[in-house]
Parts: sequence; C-alpha cells; structure tokens
Amino acid sequence: MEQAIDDKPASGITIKGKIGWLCTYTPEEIIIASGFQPSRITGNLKAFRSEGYFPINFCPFIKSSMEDLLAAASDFKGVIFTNSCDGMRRFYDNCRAYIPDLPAFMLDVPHNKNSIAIEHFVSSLKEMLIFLEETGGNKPGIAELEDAIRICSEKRMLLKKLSNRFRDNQASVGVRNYYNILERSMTEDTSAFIKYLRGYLDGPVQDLKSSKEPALNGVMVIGNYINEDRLWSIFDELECTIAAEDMCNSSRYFENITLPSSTAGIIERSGEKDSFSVLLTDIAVRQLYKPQCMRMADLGAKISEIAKNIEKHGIKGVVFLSQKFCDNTLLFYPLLREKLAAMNVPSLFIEIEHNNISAGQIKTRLQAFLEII
Amino acid sequence: MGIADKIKEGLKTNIRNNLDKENIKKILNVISAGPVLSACGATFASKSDKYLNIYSIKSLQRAYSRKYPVAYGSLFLPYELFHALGISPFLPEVIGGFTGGMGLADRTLKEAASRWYTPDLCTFHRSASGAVEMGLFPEPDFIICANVACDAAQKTFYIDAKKFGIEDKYYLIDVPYKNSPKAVSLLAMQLESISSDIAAKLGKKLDPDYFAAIINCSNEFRDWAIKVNDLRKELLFYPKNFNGLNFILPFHGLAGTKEAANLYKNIYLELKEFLEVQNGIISGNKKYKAGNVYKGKTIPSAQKLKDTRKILWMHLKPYYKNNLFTMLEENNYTVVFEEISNVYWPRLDPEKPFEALAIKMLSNPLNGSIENRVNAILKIAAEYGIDGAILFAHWGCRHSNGGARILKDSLKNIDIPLLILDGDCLNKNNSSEGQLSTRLQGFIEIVDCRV
Amino acid sequence: MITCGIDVGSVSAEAVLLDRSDGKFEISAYVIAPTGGDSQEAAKNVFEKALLKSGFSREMISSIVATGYGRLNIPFATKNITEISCHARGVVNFFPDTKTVIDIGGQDSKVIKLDSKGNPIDFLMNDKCAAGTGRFLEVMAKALDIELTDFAGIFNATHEKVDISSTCTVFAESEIVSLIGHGVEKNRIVKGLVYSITNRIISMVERIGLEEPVCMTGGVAKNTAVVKALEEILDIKINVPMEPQITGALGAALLG
Repeated sequence: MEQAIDDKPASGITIKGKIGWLCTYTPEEIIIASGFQPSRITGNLKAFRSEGYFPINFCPFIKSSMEDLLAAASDFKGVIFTNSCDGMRRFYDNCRAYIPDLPAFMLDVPHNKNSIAIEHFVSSLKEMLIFLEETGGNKPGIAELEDAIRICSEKRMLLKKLSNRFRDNQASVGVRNYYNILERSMTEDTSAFIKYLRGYLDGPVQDLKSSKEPALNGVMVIGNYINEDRLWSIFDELECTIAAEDMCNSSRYFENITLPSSTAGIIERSGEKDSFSVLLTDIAVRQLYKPQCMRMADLGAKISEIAKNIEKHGIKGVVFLSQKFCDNTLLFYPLLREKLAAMNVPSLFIEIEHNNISAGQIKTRLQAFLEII
Repeated sequence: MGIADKIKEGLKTNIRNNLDKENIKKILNVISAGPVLSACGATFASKSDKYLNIYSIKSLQRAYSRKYPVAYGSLFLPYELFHALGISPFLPEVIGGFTGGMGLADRTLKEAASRWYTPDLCTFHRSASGAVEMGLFPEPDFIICANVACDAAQKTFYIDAKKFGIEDKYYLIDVPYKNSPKAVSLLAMQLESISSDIAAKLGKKLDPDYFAAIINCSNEFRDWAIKVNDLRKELLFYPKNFNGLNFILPFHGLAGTKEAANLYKNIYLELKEFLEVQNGIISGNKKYKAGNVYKGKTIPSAQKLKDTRKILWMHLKPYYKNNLFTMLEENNYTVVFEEISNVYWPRLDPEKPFEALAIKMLSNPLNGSIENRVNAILKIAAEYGIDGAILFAHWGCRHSNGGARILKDSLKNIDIPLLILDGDCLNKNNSSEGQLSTRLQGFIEIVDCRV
Repeated sequence: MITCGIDVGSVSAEAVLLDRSDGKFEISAYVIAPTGGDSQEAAKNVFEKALLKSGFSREMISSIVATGYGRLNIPFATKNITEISCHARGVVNFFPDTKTVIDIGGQDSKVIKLDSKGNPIDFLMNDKCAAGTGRFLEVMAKALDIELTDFAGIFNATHEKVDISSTCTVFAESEIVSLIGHGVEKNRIVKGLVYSITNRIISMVERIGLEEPVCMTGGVAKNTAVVKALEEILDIKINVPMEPQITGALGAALLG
C-alpha cells in the first residue's frame, strides 16, 4: 500500500531545509511558516558514542536521538528542544556543547494551563521565531502563519481519520504499519505526506475483518515515545486490539485540532491585540489544552481524560508502556493504577529501552495479559 | 562517643523502634523545649552545629504541631513567602534525606517500592514518598513546588496532594528558562497569584509591611551568609565535624526568619575565631602548638596548613555513615566550599517583594541552561583557589548527572580535575563503599601529583 | 481424552500426561529433565519419556499445550499458552481457593493474583535479574561450599542472620566471600541469604497485593528454608504442592 514519497513539496515554495524537533509541544506551524520543513528526531540509531555524554541511567530515547545528531547533524539546519523533562534540558546542553555547529533552541514550555502560562508560552514562541529567522528562515507574516496553521490542521485531521479507521478496523491497517505511518507523518515533507495519506485513506480498505463491531478485548495503550517495530509486531502477532491510545508519537501529536469548549473566550481574554499575536495565542492555547503529556502539572485532569476514554471505548485493559528512566511517565503510573483499580480495569506495566527491547519477555507478558482479560 | 552523639543515637533508636507520626511529634516537643535545648546545646561539637540543630528541630516541631498551616515545599523555593503568609514550611526532600542519616531509609524505600514508585527514582524523593505513604510526615495544607531543579519533586508532590485530597492546593511554579525583565514579570505574577490564592484559602490577607520585614530579614541572613562565604576563601582550619552540606534546611527553608540570620551570624563568628587561630598558627604563635587540641580539633602545623589541598564539593553527599570525609581529612584535603552554599541571588528589594523573589528564583544556577551552573562553578573555583572538585553523582539525579561531562570538561579547561563519584545519598545498598574509597584514593593521588 | 502439557523453562523442562477419560482425572506420567542448550530437543525428550512412562502412544494424545520460555519453539505442540495462565490453572488443581501464586524458578520468578474462580487477574514477573531466582541460591551455595539441600536444616538451626546488603547476585557473591574471609559463620550467612531472596519476592507480592491462601510453585518451592522465611515475614501459611515443579506443565495439560 506504500507509495513513493516525493520529497519536493507540492507548492512552488522553496524549503530552506529541515529543522529537527523532539517534543510534540513544538508547534510545527511556526517552523513551516518560517520556510523550513519540520522533521522529528526519532532516535533511529542505537546509542553508542552518545553513551559518553550521559550517565547509564538516562532516557534511552534521548541517547539514541543524540546518536542521530552526532551522526547526521548536517541534515538539519537547526533543532528545537523543549524543557519537557530534565533529560531534554541536558540533551540541549550537550548538543550545544558537543555539536556546536548545529544551531539549537530551547523552547520554554510551561507546565501550567492558565492565562499567565499562555502569556509565557506566546513569549517563548516569539523567541522561537527569532531563532528561526537567525538560522536563515523567513520572517513570516499573517498569511504565512495562517497557511502553516491550515496545512498542519489538515495533516492532524487526516491522522485522526487514520486513527479512527485503525480503532474500528485494526486488521485493515495493522499495528506496526499504523505506527510506521505516524513516524512518517512526523518526519517527511508535510505536503507530500498529506497527499500520500489522502490517497491511502481514499483507497480500498483491506478488510480482513469485515465486522465493524468494537473488539472484544480492546486495550488502551498509554505511554511516552514508543516506536519499536518489534514491539508493535507483537501486537499484530497476538491480534491485540488497540481501542484507544495516549502516546507521545500518536495521539498527543495529532489530537490538537480544535480548542476544547472549556477554553472558549481564552484567546479574547489574553489581551493580544495584533492579529499575528492572536494566531500565536491560538497555537499556544491549543498546545497547552490538548490531551496532555505526563510532564504537565495537572495530572488529575489527565486521569479524568483517560477515565473518559476508557468508558467511551469500552476498554478491557490498559497497557502502560514507558521508556526506562522516564520519571514523568513512570511516576504517573501509581496514580493511574489507583484509578484503574477503582474502575476495575486491569493494567499491564511494561518498561522498555528504546532500540534495545527484549521481545520474548514482552510477548509473554502481553500474551498473559490478553489471556487474563 | 560524646554526650550529644549518645543522645542523638538514643533518639534515632527510639524513632526506629516506634516509627509513627505521633511518636515523632512527641520527641520533637520534648527536645525543642527551652531547657532541654539549652542543656543539650553545650554538648554539640561546634556552635554552628548547635544552632543548626536547635533551629532545625524548632522548625520541624512547628510543622508537626498542627498549630500552624503547613506547606510542603521543594528545595529551591523563596521560603520568604511562606513565612510572610504565616505558613510553617516542611521540606520532604530534605527530611527524606534525614531518613538516610536515621537508618530509616530501608523501610521508607521498601514502602515506596511496594507502591509502584519506580526504583530508578532518586532516593531523596523515593524515601520522602515512602515516608508519606507510611504516614510519617505532617499532613500538609498546601503543596508548592517549582520546575527547578527536577521533575521528581513536581510529580511526587502531586501524588502527595492526591493522597491528602488537596489537589486544589497544589501549586507548580513555572520559572522561565531564561532570565529577563519579561521573565521576572511573569514569575512575579505567578508568585503573587499563588500568594493571593493561599491567603484567600487561609482566610487572611498578606500584610505588605510584614512581608517587607521578612524580606529585610532575608537580606540580613544573606549578608551574614556572604560574610561566611568570603571568610571561607581563606579558612582551612574548621571546627570539629563542620560540613557545609548540613545547612541546607535553614539556608532555604528558614530564609526570611530571624533564626536564619542568627544562625549565619553565629557561623560567621565561630569561623572567624578559627581563622584567627589559623593565622596564629601560620604566624608561629606559640599559643597554638601543633598537636595540641583546640575546641576538639587537633591543631595542624603551619606547614600542614600550607600543604592543604582545597576541594569544591558539588551537589550533595551520602547521609548514611561513610568514610569519604574522614578519608579527605586524613589526606589533608579540605572542602573549602560547596555548590549548595553559594549565595546566588542579589539583595532583595522589600518595596517590590514578588519581583525580588522572582529574581531570587531566576538567579538560581540550576535554572535554565547548564551554562549558568558552569559559570557559577568557575567563579567559585577562581575565588577559592581550588585544587580539585568532587561531584557526588547521586543515582537517579538526571538534571545533575546529565551535565556531568560538561562540568568535567569545563573544569578541565581551567586545569582543575573533577572526580565523579557514582553513589546513592540515602541507600547504602545501592552504593559500594569499597568502590567509592578506591575512586577517591585514585583522585587524591592524581591531585597530589599535580600540585 | 488424554492431554499433554509441556513446560520448557530456561533451566528445566517438564511434561505431564493427563488422563481425563471416563470422568477421571489422573496424572498418568510426569517427567522433569534439564533443558540444556536446546529447548526443542528438551521438549521432545520429556514428551517421549512421558509417553514411555505412561504406555500411551502419540496418537492417543488429543492436545499438546506448550508453555514456558521455550513454548514458541515446539513445532509438535497444538497450542501455546503463557506460564501465567498455566501455573494458575495447575495450582488451583491442588489448592482450589488459592488467591496468590508465588513461582520461583531457575532463572525467573513471578507472582500471580487469582480471582475467586481461580482465574489470573494480575501478575508480576522478574526475568531481568538473577536475584530472587533459583540461580541466586545456586551461586551462593557454591560460594559457601554447602549443598542446597542443607539450607533448610541450617536455616532452622541458626538464630541470627547476617544482613546481605548487595541486591545484585554478582556483588552478593563477592560480599559473602568477603564475609567468610572475615570469619563470619557460614550458618549466619545462609540465613541472611534466604532472607535476601525473600525480600525480592516480597517486594513483588506487595506491589500486586497479598491475598491468602498463598501457594508456592517452581523448583525453589522445594527449598523449605525459603518457604519458611516467606511464611515468617508475611505471617501466613504457604501451601506447596507435592511436586511443585510440574504445576506449569499440569496447568498446560488441563487447559488443553
């Protein structure tokens, strides 16, 4: 079902090169408006040289990502980091110290969701624009920013459609294939990818299971950045149906389309007068109010979000997947487990190391969990 | 064992055998009573130690007493605000550290493990969380933390808030990444908003005059602390058992109180006294004969003082019994300064208290890019003329250990060797004494060779 | 109907033949043998030996369920089920009301929680680290030059233990060598080691929540010192089947 992706954009705009990003709180809209192609750094290489910069007990995804940058910094015109966690903060520092020719920017993302936080984030986004300009980008006007917002929204809507199809008819998409497509959505040229995904969604649906009933043993996967081919293949092999998800490389990337109704009026109340700042505020609010990462302050809201999801999709069990050493995610589990126990929903806890998983052990655990539920 | 040590051991054993909040409260009430403190006071190894213990115990006793509203706070908060609001601060991370020294860490860590706290989490936080689960800490009315210095505090404190049912009284302060006038304004707004919210929930109003007085008091403490730090640029002859890493609780938690100012005044006076003795030794004053004892400390020879190697200690230290500091002393190495003792903030303006405290937080070298930490260390290295630095790389402390390579290379650039000691500040089982001693010995040999 | 269950672990392999014809329920034969380097060979070996012992022929076996770490590599199995479900089913056969299963094998350990019907509802596995497994005891017994079978007697007869602080098997071995060198009594070290392994297990039990009755399975369940220590610390009575090493294979045969 795969089509060759043409790296040249559909429109006539010359792309100035790739800007790498690491965290979904980085608005791609701003990168695109400045004339760059956003491309997520996905930790492809196994950590080797990067082990020399970080201690042993450190996020394996960051170590792999550092390895990617050490190997191919010249692929990027610059990289946007965020202060999503302690690891990322030190990753940024090590990148600046040991890959000095790669321009790097730290996007300051607040942990709270209120008017001060919005003002804080808008201020950070303005600095990001300056960085991109200094790195050779354009200074975008309202039109460029609106265009960029539109194209990003379109991509997200298509991904949401894909996600819905995946949920309703997993066999037609395949777990491993689904996450592969998601990875491509974060790394490839935006226009070209939109074209591809439109084609994929409009094409014939491979119906291995013609039933549209919700799966009997639907699980919800919750985690951080989990993109292991071998891991997702296990879900395919065991025919484990993923009926809902909350992951950094899927839902937290594209569930950022419209503002929730609870935020009505926030943008007006923000006091921003000029249209450009209003657009930035729109971006900031959508980012802060989307289904949130575990690093955000209000974990209670996150638990409620998940509980609603579980009820909505009749979830039978939760598979909790975390990179080793991720304090933000791992410390969420005690809270989540307590809530799930109250809802009588069993959970499976799996800790993995990016690019270094023990597939056999994971298969046993997942198989046993499916036998239980 | 001296009387003070015997009493301390006795209390530790009592708490270990009767591990519950009520017993801790009872003991604190007893030992914080005036007559008892005065009686014990004379038995401490040094005046600094005496005041440190008195004020720490009093602060803890207040937190356990249920007489005042209590707020949990993470380490680098502007505690002046707590005192201005009449809230008794309780620092779980620091008290978590105490569990190490009291031999309770095994139990608190076990409790945390059974409640699904990841075993890769820093033991200061794990032990504090375990203690909360065991009901050992006073019940908080508010919980305040910041994004400085680490993630662990933010998350474990939220879990605590959920446990005590005070999610609406949990506040996370977002300190902006970069210091700038805009950043000061954003942070001041946050502090003011949190302050109003807390005041409203307490049913009171923050008195601006009282707040200004607290700020002035904080400046007084700061003045004394700076005097102490300046004095330490020359001091090599320290009072018995003096360790700058023991003063974390008052340095942060008591900022703005008369006690902090008084403590540092006394530290200054005591260290000044020792500096005078030191100068006497060097000038050959017969009163200070090498080998004699001065206030429990063996008087070194002038030559020995001259040969003393000066060490900067970075981050924290193990709180269980260990031989690291005795090894340093035996080899004539003196820790002349610690990162944690650095007065990193400017004088606070009592006319603009929220702005002042915002500036205090933004000045913390642990905020933002590691450049801030590196610059602070390089400045200290120059001012104290250090020969070497030691970073105790506490297990699970990712914000600090993630920058170890940069710290090492930065110090290497100014020709100062850095020893990175991998260990655990609280969990003796996660630390190998033999390995630590070997590495320290190796480092000593390297520095001796160079000097 | 005659069913077969084969449990291929990393250290030992077991086969159980179950005769369920005419409303019977009888273990016709069981075999325990070391796995060695080839799990497929080991499976074939215990299966054939079990057939010989029982007198049945291959054609009479209506299902062969494979479980354990080597379960995916047995081409002649009709089905594979994880050892979680199999141990649960096997245990319930001996002790129907069991709510918690503690299985300590050669190279892994697990705790399984069961509901009132004997179905597993939660589990925890430790297969990353030798501490808390049979391997830990083997290594220590060798270092002490004591037979594993003597552990029970020594444990009962000794009153004071010495604390083994290392959590890692490799470092614990160094630690006890050092203790021996310092003249510490071997009996006290044995006692300390038994408590060491139980600590790892108890940590898992607490995370999952202890509910009685508790049953212990796996090769280490034959070490009465470990069972006793667990009973003492958890303050409960632990049931152990007559042959605790075959519960996995038995469960597999029952689920076939």
